[in-house]
Amino acid sequence: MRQPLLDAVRGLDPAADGPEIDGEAMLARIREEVHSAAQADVTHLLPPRRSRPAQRLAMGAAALTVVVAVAIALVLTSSGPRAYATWAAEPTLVPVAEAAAECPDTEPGTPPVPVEPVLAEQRGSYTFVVLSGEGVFVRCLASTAGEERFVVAEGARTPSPSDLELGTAPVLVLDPGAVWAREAGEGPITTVVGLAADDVTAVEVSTVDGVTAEASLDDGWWSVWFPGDVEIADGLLVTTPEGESTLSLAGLIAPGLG
Amino acid sequence: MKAGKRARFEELYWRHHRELAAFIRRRVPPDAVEDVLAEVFVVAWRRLSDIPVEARAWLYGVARNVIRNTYRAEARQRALHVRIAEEAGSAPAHTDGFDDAIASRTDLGRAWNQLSETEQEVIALVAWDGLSNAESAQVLGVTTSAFAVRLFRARRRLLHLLERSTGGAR
Repeated sequence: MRQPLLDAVRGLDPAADGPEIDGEAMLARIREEVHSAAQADVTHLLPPRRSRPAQRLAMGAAALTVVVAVAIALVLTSSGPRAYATWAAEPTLVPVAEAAAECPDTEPGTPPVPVEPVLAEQRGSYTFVVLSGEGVFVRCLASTAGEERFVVAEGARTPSPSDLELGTAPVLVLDPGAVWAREAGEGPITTVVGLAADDVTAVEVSTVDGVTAEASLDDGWWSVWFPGDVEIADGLLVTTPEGESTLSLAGLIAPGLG
Repeated sequence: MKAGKRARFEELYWRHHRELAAFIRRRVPPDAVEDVLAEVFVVAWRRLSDIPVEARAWLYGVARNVIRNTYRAEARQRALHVRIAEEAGSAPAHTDGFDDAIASRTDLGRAWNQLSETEQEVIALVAWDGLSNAESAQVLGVTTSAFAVRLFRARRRLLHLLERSTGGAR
Protein backbone atom coordinates (compact mmCIF):
# COMPACT_ATOMS: atom_id res chain seq x y z
CA MET A 1 0.00 0.00 0.00
CA ARG A 2 1.27 3.46 -0.84
CA GLN A 3 2.12 5.70 2.04
CA PRO A 4 2.61 9.04 0.33
CA LEU A 5 3.85 11.00 3.31
CA LEU A 6 6.51 8.43 4.12
CA ASP A 7 7.43 8.21 0.44
CA ALA A 8 8.04 11.95 0.47
CA VAL A 9 10.03 11.81 3.69
CA ARG A 10 12.26 9.14 2.15
CA GLY A 11 13.35 11.80 -0.31
CA LEU A 12 14.87 13.75 2.58
CA ASP A 13 17.12 10.88 3.68
CA PRO A 14 20.46 12.48 4.58
CA ALA A 15 22.27 9.14 4.21
CA ALA A 16 21.02 8.39 0.72
CA ASP A 17 24.30 9.33 -0.93
CA GLY A 18 26.68 8.56 1.89
CA PRO A 19 30.17 7.17 1.35
CA GLU A 20 30.70 3.43 1.33
CA ILE A 21 32.33 1.84 4.33
CA ASP A 22 35.49 -0.15 3.61
CA GLY A 23 34.08 -3.40 4.90
CA GLU A 24 37.35 -5.33 5.17
CA ALA A 25 39.14 -2.49 6.96
CA MET A 26 36.27 -2.05 9.37
CA LEU A 27 36.14 -5.77 10.14
CA ALA A 28 39.89 -5.74 10.82
CA ARG A 29 39.42 -2.80 13.17
CA ILE A 30 36.61 -4.59 15.02
CA ARG A 31 38.77 -7.72 15.42
CA GLU A 32 41.54 -5.55 16.79
CA GLU A 33 39.21 -3.84 19.28
CA VAL A 34 37.67 -7.13 20.36
CA HIS A 35 41.09 -8.45 21.24
CA SER A 36 42.61 -5.31 22.70
CA ALA A 37 39.80 -3.47 24.45
CA ALA A 38 39.06 -4.01 28.09
CA GLN A 39 36.03 -6.18 28.72
CA ALA A 40 33.84 -3.29 29.79
CA ASP A 41 30.25 -3.94 30.78
CA VAL A 42 28.04 -3.31 27.77
CA THR A 43 24.71 -4.23 29.33
CA HIS A 44 23.51 -0.63 29.22
CA LEU A 45 23.98 -0.60 25.46
CA LEU A 46 21.70 -3.55 24.77
CA PRO A 47 18.15 -3.00 23.55
CA PRO A 48 15.60 -3.59 26.29
CA ARG A 49 13.65 -6.81 26.07
CA ARG A 50 9.97 -6.32 25.48
CA SER A 51 7.61 -8.00 27.83
CA ARG A 52 4.73 -8.39 25.40
CA PRO A 53 4.47 -11.21 22.89
CA ALA A 54 5.91 -9.70 19.75
CA GLN A 55 4.17 -12.07 17.41
CA ARG A 56 0.71 -11.01 18.45
CA LEU A 57 1.51 -7.34 18.42
CA ALA A 58 3.16 -7.60 15.04
CA MET A 59 -0.34 -7.95 13.59
CA GLY A 60 -0.59 -4.21 13.80
CA ALA A 61 2.85 -3.59 12.40
CA ALA A 62 1.69 -1.88 9.26
CA ALA A 63 -1.66 -0.82 10.51
CA LEU A 64 -1.30 2.93 10.57
CA THR A 65 -1.04 5.34 7.77
CA VAL A 66 -1.71 8.89 6.92
CA VAL A 67 -5.08 10.05 8.01
CA VAL A 68 -5.44 13.52 6.63
CA ALA A 69 -6.80 15.52 9.47
CA VAL A 70 -8.08 19.03 9.18
CA ALA A 71 -9.46 21.35 11.77
CA ILE A 72 -12.82 22.33 10.48
CA ALA A 73 -14.62 24.39 13.04
CA LEU A 74 -13.77 26.33 16.08
CA VAL A 75 -15.86 28.66 18.14
CA LEU A 76 -14.04 29.51 21.31
CA THR A 77 -15.69 31.69 23.87
CA SER A 78 -14.09 30.25 26.93
CA SER A 79 -11.62 32.52 28.67
CA GLY A 80 -8.96 29.83 29.12
CA PRO A 81 -8.10 26.15 29.44
CA ARG A 82 -9.74 24.28 32.28
CA ALA A 83 -8.72 20.69 31.69
CA TYR A 84 -12.16 19.17 31.30
CA ALA A 85 -12.85 19.02 35.00
CA THR A 86 -16.26 17.37 34.69
CA TRP A 87 -15.16 14.61 32.29
CA ALA A 88 -16.62 11.22 33.23
CA ALA A 89 -15.33 7.73 32.48
CA GLU A 90 -18.86 6.50 31.87
CA PRO A 91 -20.67 8.21 29.03
CA THR A 92 -24.34 8.79 28.47
CA LEU A 93 -25.73 8.38 24.98
CA VAL A 94 -27.62 11.44 23.77
CA PRO A 95 -29.78 11.96 20.67
CA VAL A 96 -27.44 12.40 17.74
CA ALA A 97 -29.40 14.94 15.75
CA GLU A 98 -29.69 17.35 18.63
CA ALA A 99 -26.09 16.85 19.77
CA ALA A 100 -24.74 17.40 16.28
CA ALA A 101 -26.60 20.64 15.71
CA GLU A 102 -23.45 22.71 16.19
CA CYS A 103 -21.10 20.30 14.42
CA PRO A 104 -20.07 20.67 10.79
CA ASP A 105 -22.05 18.81 8.15
CA THR A 106 -19.10 18.20 5.84
CA GLU A 107 -15.54 16.98 6.10
CA PRO A 108 -14.01 19.84 4.17
CA GLY A 109 -11.18 18.16 2.34
CA THR A 110 -11.00 18.31 -1.43
CA PRO A 111 -13.74 17.79 -2.39
CA PRO A 112 -15.83 18.31 0.75
CA VAL A 113 -17.68 15.17 1.79
CA PRO A 114 -21.07 15.35 3.50
CA VAL A 115 -21.24 13.69 6.90
CA GLU A 116 -24.08 12.68 9.18
CA PRO A 117 -23.97 12.05 12.91
CA VAL A 118 -23.74 8.40 13.90
CA LEU A 119 -22.91 8.55 17.59
CA ALA A 120 -23.29 11.14 20.31
CA GLU A 121 -22.29 10.85 23.93
CA GLN A 122 -21.99 13.04 26.96
CA ARG A 123 -19.25 12.96 29.59
CA GLY A 124 -19.78 15.55 32.25
CA SER A 125 -20.31 18.89 30.57
CA TYR A 126 -18.99 17.73 27.22
CA THR A 127 -20.79 16.30 24.23
CA PHE A 128 -18.77 14.26 21.76
CA VAL A 129 -20.23 13.44 18.37
CA VAL A 130 -18.92 11.17 15.62
CA LEU A 131 -20.11 12.00 12.12
CA SER A 132 -19.49 9.77 9.12
CA GLY A 133 -19.52 10.12 5.37
CA GLU A 134 -18.05 8.22 2.45
CA GLY A 135 -14.46 7.47 3.42
CA VAL A 136 -14.39 10.16 6.09
CA PHE A 137 -15.34 10.65 9.67
CA VAL A 138 -15.46 13.72 11.85
CA ARG A 139 -15.08 14.07 15.60
CA CYS A 140 -16.83 16.98 17.22
CA LEU A 141 -16.50 18.05 20.83
CA ALA A 142 -18.78 20.65 22.38
CA SER A 143 -18.95 22.05 25.85
CA THR A 144 -22.41 22.12 27.30
CA ALA A 145 -21.36 23.99 30.40
CA GLY A 146 -23.61 27.01 30.16
CA GLU A 147 -21.89 30.16 28.98
CA GLU A 148 -18.47 28.56 28.73
CA ARG A 149 -19.31 27.12 25.35
CA PHE A 150 -17.06 25.93 22.60
CA VAL A 151 -17.29 23.61 19.64
CA VAL A 152 -14.22 22.06 18.08
CA ALA A 153 -14.19 19.46 15.36
CA GLU A 154 -11.67 17.58 13.30
CA GLY A 155 -12.09 15.39 10.27
CA ALA A 156 -10.17 12.36 9.08
CA ARG A 157 -10.04 11.09 5.54
CA THR A 158 -9.09 7.51 4.75
CA PRO A 159 -7.37 6.31 1.57
CA SER A 160 -10.41 4.30 0.53
CA PRO A 161 -14.11 4.42 1.50
CA SER A 162 -13.90 0.68 2.17
CA ASP A 163 -11.56 1.44 5.05
CA LEU A 164 -14.66 2.36 7.02
CA GLU A 165 -16.22 -1.07 6.62
CA LEU A 166 -16.13 -3.44 9.55
CA GLY A 167 -15.76 -6.72 7.68
CA THR A 168 -15.57 -9.77 9.94
CA ALA A 169 -13.77 -8.22 12.88
CA PRO A 170 -15.73 -7.76 16.12
CA VAL A 171 -14.41 -4.25 16.40
CA LEU A 172 -12.28 -2.08 14.18
CA VAL A 173 -10.17 0.88 15.26
CA LEU A 174 -10.22 3.94 13.02
CA ASP A 175 -8.56 6.37 15.38
CA PRO A 176 -6.13 4.63 17.79
CA GLY A 177 -5.49 7.59 20.04
CA ALA A 178 -5.15 10.81 18.11
CA VAL A 179 -4.46 13.95 20.09
CA TRP A 180 -6.23 17.05 18.87
CA ALA A 181 -7.86 20.28 19.95
CA ARG A 182 -4.44 21.32 21.24
CA GLU A 183 -5.25 25.00 21.01
CA ALA A 184 -8.99 24.91 21.41
CA GLY A 185 -11.64 24.13 23.93
CA GLU A 186 -10.00 23.38 27.23
CA GLY A 187 -6.84 21.96 25.70
CA PRO A 188 -5.88 18.70 24.02
CA ILE A 189 -7.95 15.56 24.12
CA THR A 190 -7.07 12.03 23.03
CA THR A 191 -9.70 10.16 21.05
CA VAL A 192 -10.24 6.53 20.11
CA VAL A 193 -12.94 5.81 17.55
CA GLY A 194 -13.99 2.60 15.87
CA LEU A 195 -16.64 0.36 14.45
CA ALA A 196 -18.29 -2.55 16.25
CA ALA A 197 -20.22 -5.62 15.17
CA ASP A 198 -23.88 -5.93 16.16
CA ASP A 199 -23.17 -8.40 18.95
CA VAL A 200 -20.67 -6.17 20.73
CA THR A 201 -22.31 -4.80 23.84
CA ALA A 202 -19.43 -2.88 25.42
CA VAL A 203 -15.90 -1.64 24.71
CA GLU A 204 -13.57 -0.46 27.42
CA VAL A 205 -10.39 1.52 26.76
CA SER A 206 -7.55 2.35 29.11
CA THR A 207 -4.58 4.65 29.10
CA VAL A 208 -1.10 3.43 29.97
CA ASP A 209 -1.44 5.56 33.10
CA GLY A 210 -4.28 3.34 34.25
CA VAL A 211 -7.32 5.48 33.52
CA THR A 212 -10.14 3.34 32.15
CA ALA A 213 -13.18 4.63 30.33
CA GLU A 214 -16.22 2.94 28.91
CA ALA A 215 -16.79 3.61 25.24
CA SER A 216 -20.08 4.90 24.01
CA LEU A 217 -21.51 2.40 21.56
CA ASP A 218 -24.32 3.03 19.13
CA ASP A 219 -25.34 2.06 15.64
CA GLY A 220 -22.13 0.14 14.93
CA TRP A 221 -19.81 2.92 16.12
CA TRP A 222 -17.93 3.33 19.38
CA SER A 223 -15.81 6.12 20.79
CA VAL A 224 -13.88 7.20 23.83
CA TRP A 225 -12.01 10.34 24.61
CA PHE A 226 -9.71 11.29 27.44
CA PRO A 227 -8.72 14.74 28.62
CA GLY A 228 -5.14 15.65 27.74
CA ASP A 229 -2.43 14.09 25.63
CA VAL A 230 -2.39 10.53 26.89
CA GLU A 231 -1.04 7.24 25.57
CA ILE A 232 -3.64 4.57 24.95
CA ALA A 233 -2.94 1.07 26.29
CA ASP A 234 -3.02 -1.78 23.82
CA GLY A 235 -5.70 -3.90 25.47
CA LEU A 236 -9.32 -3.26 24.46
CA LEU A 237 -11.85 -5.01 26.65
CA VAL A 238 -14.65 -6.08 24.30
CA THR A 239 -17.86 -7.60 25.58
CA THR A 240 -20.21 -9.77 23.54
CA PRO A 241 -22.94 -12.22 24.64
CA GLU A 242 -20.18 -14.86 24.76
CA GLY A 243 -18.30 -12.90 27.39
CA GLU A 244 -15.40 -10.50 27.71
CA SER A 245 -12.18 -10.65 25.74
CA THR A 246 -9.14 -8.43 25.72
CA LEU A 247 -8.06 -7.61 22.19
CA SER A 248 -5.01 -5.80 20.85
CA LEU A 249 -5.86 -2.30 19.74
CA ALA A 250 -2.93 -2.28 17.32
CA GLY A 251 -4.16 -5.50 15.76
CA LEU A 252 -7.61 -4.04 15.18
CA ILE A 253 -6.67 -0.89 13.34
CA ALA A 254 -8.53 -0.83 10.05
CA PRO A 255 -6.44 -2.71 7.44
CA GLY A 256 -6.92 -0.01 4.87
CA LEU A 257 -5.27 2.45 7.20
CA GLY A 258 -2.08 0.36 7.15
CA MET B 1 37.80 -15.72 17.96
CA LYS B 2 36.44 -19.26 18.04
CA ALA B 3 35.65 -20.64 14.58
CA GLY B 4 31.88 -21.17 15.00
CA LYS B 5 31.36 -17.94 16.80
CA ARG B 6 33.56 -16.11 14.35
CA ALA B 7 31.67 -17.49 11.37
CA ARG B 8 28.33 -16.40 12.81
CA PHE B 9 29.70 -12.99 13.70
CA GLU B 10 31.18 -12.41 10.26
CA GLU B 11 27.97 -13.51 8.59
CA LEU B 12 26.16 -11.00 10.78
CA TYR B 13 28.69 -8.31 9.97
CA TRP B 14 28.61 -8.72 6.22
CA ARG B 15 24.84 -8.89 6.15
CA HIS B 16 24.24 -5.75 8.17
CA HIS B 17 27.25 -3.45 8.24
CA ARG B 18 26.27 -1.27 5.26
CA GLU B 19 22.71 -0.56 6.35
CA LEU B 20 23.87 -0.13 9.92
CA ALA B 21 26.44 2.42 8.74
CA ALA B 22 23.63 4.29 6.98
CA PHE B 23 21.54 4.21 10.16
CA ILE B 24 24.45 5.69 12.09
CA ARG B 25 25.30 8.23 9.37
CA ARG B 26 21.82 9.71 9.73
CA ARG B 27 22.41 10.40 13.38
CA VAL B 28 26.02 11.38 13.97
CA PRO B 29 28.63 13.62 12.30
CA PRO B 30 30.36 11.97 9.34
CA ASP B 31 33.69 11.59 11.12
CA ALA B 32 32.07 9.62 13.94
CA VAL B 33 30.28 7.00 11.83
CA GLU B 34 33.05 4.42 11.84
CA ASP B 35 33.69 4.79 15.58
CA VAL B 36 30.05 4.07 16.39
CA LEU B 37 29.88 1.25 13.86
CA ALA B 38 32.94 -0.42 15.34
CA GLU B 39 31.58 -0.08 18.87
CA VAL B 40 28.27 -1.66 17.87
CA PHE B 41 29.99 -4.70 16.41
CA VAL B 42 32.29 -5.03 19.40
CA VAL B 43 29.15 -5.17 21.56
CA ALA B 44 27.65 -7.66 19.10
CA TRP B 45 30.69 -9.90 19.40
CA ARG B 46 30.56 -9.86 23.17
CA ARG B 47 26.83 -10.55 23.30
CA LEU B 48 26.52 -12.75 20.24
CA SER B 49 24.39 -15.29 22.07
CA ASP B 50 21.84 -12.57 22.89
CA ILE B 51 21.29 -11.60 19.27
CA PRO B 52 18.04 -12.91 17.77
CA VAL B 53 17.95 -14.56 14.36
CA GLU B 54 16.37 -11.41 12.97
CA ALA B 55 19.27 -9.30 14.10
CA ARG B 56 18.70 -5.98 12.40
CA ALA B 57 16.55 -4.33 15.04
CA TRP B 58 18.85 -5.58 17.81
CA LEU B 59 21.87 -4.04 16.10
CA TYR B 60 20.05 -0.77 15.47
CA GLY B 61 18.98 -0.72 19.10
CA VAL B 62 22.58 -1.05 20.22
CA ALA B 63 23.63 1.65 17.77
CA ARG B 64 20.93 3.95 19.11
CA ASN B 65 22.12 3.37 22.66
CA VAL B 66 25.76 3.97 21.73
CA ILE B 67 24.76 7.23 20.05
CA ARG B 68 22.58 8.33 22.97
CA ASN B 69 25.40 7.45 25.31
CA THR B 70 27.81 9.60 23.34
CA TYR B 71 25.84 12.58 22.14
CA ARG B 72 23.64 15.03 23.98
CA ALA B 73 20.03 15.44 22.95
CA GLU B 74 20.59 18.69 21.09
CA ALA B 75 23.33 17.13 18.99
CA ARG B 76 21.11 14.20 18.12
CA GLN B 77 18.30 16.55 17.21
CA ARG B 78 20.59 18.45 14.86
CA ALA B 79 21.68 15.21 13.30
CA LEU B 80 18.19 14.23 12.26
CA HIS B 81 17.51 17.65 10.78
CA VAL B 82 17.62 17.88 7.04
CA ARG B 83 19.46 20.50 5.06
CA ILE B 84 17.00 22.68 3.20
CA ALA B 85 18.58 26.10 2.79
CA GLU B 86 20.22 25.30 -0.53
CA GLU B 87 17.11 23.66 -1.86
CA ALA B 88 14.70 26.58 -1.88
CA GLY B 89 12.47 26.45 -4.88
CA SER B 90 13.39 22.87 -5.60
CA ALA B 91 11.18 20.33 -7.25
CA PRO B 92 8.31 18.65 -5.43
CA ALA B 93 9.36 16.12 -2.84
CA HIS B 94 7.01 13.59 -4.32
CA THR B 95 4.43 13.77 -7.04
CA ASP B 96 2.14 11.12 -8.43
CA GLY B 97 -0.98 12.31 -6.75
CA PHE B 98 0.44 13.09 -3.37
CA ASP B 99 -1.55 15.44 -1.23
CA ASP B 100 -1.44 19.04 -2.29
CA ALA B 101 -0.26 19.97 1.18
CA ILE B 102 3.27 18.94 0.25
CA ALA B 103 4.18 21.60 -2.23
CA SER B 104 7.93 21.08 -2.33
CA ARG B 105 10.88 19.39 -0.77
CA THR B 106 11.61 22.69 0.93
CA ASP B 107 8.20 22.76 2.60
CA LEU B 108 8.62 19.19 3.72
CA GLY B 109 12.11 19.86 5.03
CA ARG B 110 10.95 22.87 7.00
CA ALA B 111 8.04 20.94 8.48
CA TRP B 112 10.33 18.02 9.27
CA ASN B 113 12.74 20.26 11.12
CA GLN B 114 9.93 21.52 13.35
CA LEU B 115 9.17 18.03 14.60
CA SER B 116 10.49 17.04 18.00
CA GLU B 117 13.40 14.63 18.28
CA THR B 118 11.00 11.86 19.25
CA GLU B 119 8.69 12.56 16.31
CA GLN B 120 11.58 12.65 13.85
CA GLU B 121 12.95 9.44 15.27
CA VAL B 122 9.80 7.36 14.86
CA ILE B 123 9.25 8.51 11.29
CA ALA B 124 12.93 8.12 10.41
CA LEU B 125 13.00 4.54 11.63
CA VAL B 126 10.30 3.64 9.11
CA ALA B 127 10.96 6.04 6.25
CA TRP B 128 14.76 6.25 6.27
CA ASP B 129 15.89 3.07 7.98
CA GLY B 130 13.23 0.92 6.34
CA LEU B 131 12.17 -0.85 9.52
CA SER B 132 8.75 -2.31 10.13
CA ASN B 133 6.71 -1.07 13.07
CA ALA B 134 7.65 -4.21 15.00
CA GLU B 135 11.36 -3.71 14.32
CA SER B 136 11.16 -0.02 15.15
CA ALA B 137 9.44 -0.84 18.41
CA GLN B 138 12.26 -3.23 19.23
CA VAL B 139 14.86 -0.54 18.54
CA LEU B 140 13.09 1.83 20.93
CA GLY B 141 12.28 -0.84 23.48
CA VAL B 142 8.52 -0.22 23.37
CA THR B 143 5.56 -2.32 22.33
CA THR B 144 4.55 -2.39 18.70
CA SER B 145 1.22 -0.81 19.51
CA ALA B 146 2.89 2.02 21.41
CA PHE B 147 5.17 2.60 18.45
CA ALA B 148 2.23 2.49 16.04
CA VAL B 149 0.45 5.19 17.99
CA ARG B 150 3.60 7.32 18.20
CA LEU B 151 4.04 7.01 14.46
CA PHE B 152 0.40 7.87 13.89
CA ARG B 153 0.79 11.00 15.98
CA ALA B 154 4.08 12.01 14.40
CA ARG B 155 2.65 11.71 10.90
CA ARG B 156 -0.37 13.76 11.86
CA ARG B 157 1.86 16.46 13.30
CA LEU B 158 4.01 16.50 10.17
CA LEU B 159 0.91 16.86 8.02
CA HIS B 160 -0.34 19.62 10.27
CA LEU B 161 2.98 21.48 10.01
CA LEU B 162 2.94 21.04 6.24
CA GLU B 163 -0.52 22.49 5.99
CA ARG B 164 0.58 25.47 8.04
CA SER B 165 3.78 26.00 6.08
CA THR B 166 2.00 25.84 2.73
CA GLY B 167 -0.90 28.01 3.87
CA GLY B 168 -3.19 25.07 3.35
CA ALA B 169 -4.68 24.92 6.82
CA ARG B 170 -8.38 24.38 6.55
